[in-house]
Amino acid sequence: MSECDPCTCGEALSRVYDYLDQELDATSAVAIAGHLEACPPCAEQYRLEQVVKTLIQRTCCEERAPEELRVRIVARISEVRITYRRQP
Amino acid sequence: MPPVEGLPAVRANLGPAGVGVPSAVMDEAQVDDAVVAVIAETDEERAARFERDALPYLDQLYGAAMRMTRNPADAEDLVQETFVKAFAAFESFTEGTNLKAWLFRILTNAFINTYRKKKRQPLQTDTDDLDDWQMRYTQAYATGQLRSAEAEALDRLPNDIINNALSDLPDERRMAVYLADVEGFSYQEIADIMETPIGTVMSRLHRGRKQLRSSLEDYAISEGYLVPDGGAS
Repeated sequence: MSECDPCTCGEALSRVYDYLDQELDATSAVAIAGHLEACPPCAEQYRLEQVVKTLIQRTCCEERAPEELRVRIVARISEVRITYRRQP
Repeated sequence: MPPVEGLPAVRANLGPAGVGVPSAVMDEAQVDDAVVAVIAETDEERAARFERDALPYLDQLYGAAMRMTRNPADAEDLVQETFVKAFAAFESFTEGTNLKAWLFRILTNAFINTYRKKKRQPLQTDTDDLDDWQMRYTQAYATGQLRSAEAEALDRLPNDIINNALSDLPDERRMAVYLADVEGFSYQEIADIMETPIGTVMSRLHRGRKQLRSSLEDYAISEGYLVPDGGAS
């Protein structure tokens, strides 16, 4: 699947997300990798999808829960525990 | 322990292909031992085990809740509800199975069943059933429309722009993209978390990313990060 023509490109592009997300079995992954190496337009599309995936990771990885929320949750858990124990 | 309202959907064993099924991580004898240990534990021990194992996921669950609700106050409520429900059901969680996916499933469930209903907002669902994703790429190929500068342009976009684009996605697409790209869950895990077939997960991911990419491209062009080549855009 290494040659560059509309048929193989269509097939490669239809599986580019599966490849990006590492959801393909080894044989299919090797076939897609081979095609991307031989076909600059498909390689460019793949690269763009990679960039978007990385952007989302970069933007979303900074979130920290407020310390006050942690305290509140720990308190709620002991409340729940005590409530259960009091019930007959 | 009495049943907790709204909990029946949450179980340690999350179905045949499930998130919570004892896997290669533990053999049967080990799982049996774990079950015996869990049954024998006191309330205090269970609470300590919960704080030790589940609470470290607080930041990750909060990050996801922020993407779901899009505001800090609602995200905090949703995360608190998630932990209270998870603690109430923790007895039924099989130790050694996928705790992170189990917690994300409770979070997703709480978002869909409690939060959306409370807000009287129906879940935004996918309405377009035609996936023109492949056609778009095939056309890009056929017209030789190459945008070598695009990756660099997108990479320079500020975080708040990406955040906005993500916020604009319908809930189910946004959640699928978040679970895959930020949390690194597999398609099967996302299917278990969202309680949906794997094909639906893939379609939400494809559409979500396509929509995201096209809104980022539009922004990049309108703000001069990217100059459309040959009138292609």
